[in-house]
Amino acid sequence: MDPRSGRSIDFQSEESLSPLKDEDLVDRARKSDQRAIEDLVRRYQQKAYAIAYHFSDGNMQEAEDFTQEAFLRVFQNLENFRGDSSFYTWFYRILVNVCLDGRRRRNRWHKIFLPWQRGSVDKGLSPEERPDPNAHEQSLKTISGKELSRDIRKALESLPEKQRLAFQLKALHGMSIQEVARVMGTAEGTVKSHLFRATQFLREKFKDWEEG
Amino acid sequence: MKPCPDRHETILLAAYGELGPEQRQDWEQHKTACPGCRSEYEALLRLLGRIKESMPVPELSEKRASSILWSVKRELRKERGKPSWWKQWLVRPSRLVPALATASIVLITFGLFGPKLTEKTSPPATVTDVENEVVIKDLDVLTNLDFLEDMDTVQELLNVLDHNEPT
Repeated sequence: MDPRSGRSIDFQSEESLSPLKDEDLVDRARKSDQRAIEDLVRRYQQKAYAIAYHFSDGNMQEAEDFTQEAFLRVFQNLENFRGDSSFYTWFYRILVNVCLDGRRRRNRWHKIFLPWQRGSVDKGLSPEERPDPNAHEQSLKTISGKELSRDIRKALESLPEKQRLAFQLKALHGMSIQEVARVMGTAEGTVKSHLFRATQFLREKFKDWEEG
Repeated sequence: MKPCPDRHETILLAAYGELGPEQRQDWEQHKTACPGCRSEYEALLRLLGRIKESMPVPELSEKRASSILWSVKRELRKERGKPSWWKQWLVRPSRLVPALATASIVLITFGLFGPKLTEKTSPPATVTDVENEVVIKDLDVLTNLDFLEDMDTVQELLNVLDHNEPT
C-alpha cells in the first residue's frame, strides 16, 4: 500500500486470476463447483497467508496452517454467508478469528508446557533473531534489519490485541479503515481510536530512529 | 518543533491516506504553512514505511499454494462424503445393537424392582410417639394453669352461692 494514498489498490489484485466476480464464484462454490473453490482459494491465499504470517510471528508452517484452516471454515460455512458484506470481508474476518484462536491456543500451550521458554517462544523468534548480549553497546544508527524487525515485532506484541490487529491490518496489509472495521466487526471510530493509540505508542517507542 | 495539538488525528489520517477530498485540501494548505505538523507527518510516514519494510512477508511458493488448495479440497471432499449422524445409524444398524441392549436391561430392571422401590409403607407407631403425645398434653395443662385455677375459684364461688341460696 502506498501510505500517501492509503488505498488498498493491491488488496484484491489477484482477482485477475478469474474474470468472475466473488459473488458468482461463491454461488458456484455453494454448489460444490471445484473450479470456483479453486479460484476463490487462489484469489485470496497470498493475502491470507501474509496476514496469517504476521499473526504467527513469522512462523511459516503455522501461517500455512492458519490459511488452510480459514479456507476450510469458509467453505464449510458458505451456506451461512448471506452476502450482507462482501465475500472478502467475511473471509478475512474468519481468517483473523482463526489466527487469534490459534495464537491464544499456542500461548496457552507454551504457558503450560514450556513455561521456562516463554520469553523467547512467545515472541516466536528464531535463534538468529534472539537478542545478542553484546548488542547493548551497538548504536541505534547501525541497527540491523533483523534486529529492527525483532524490535518491531516485540513492540507490536506488547500492544493490546485489538490495537495490534487494527495496526497490522491497516499499516501492514493496506486495508482501509472501513475494511478493518468490517473485519474486526466494530465501528470505524473505534478502529481509528485503536489505530491512533497503536501509532502513538510505536512513534514514542521508535523515536530514537528519528534522532539516530 | 511540535505539531498543532488539534491536528494529531488529521496527521494520522493523512499518513494513512484516509482523508476525504475536502479534508485533504485543508490539510495540504495547513501542512505548507505549519512546519511542526509537516515534520510530524513526515516522521510518521517514515516510521510506517520502515515498519512495513522491516516486516516483509515471504511469497507463498506455487508448491505451497497448491498444497494448501489440495488440502482444502481433500478435507471438503471428506466432509461431503461423510453422511450425517442419523444417516450413519440408518446405514449401519449394527450400531443400534448396544443401545437397544442397554435400553432393554434398564426396562427389565425397572419392571422387576421399580414397584418395590417406589412403594410407600407407613411405619408402626412406637413408644416414643405415645410419650410425645403425653408430653404435649402436659404442656397444654401447664400453659393454661392460671386459667384452670381461675375456673376452680369460680366453681367454689358458685358452690358457696348455691349453699347460701334459700330453699
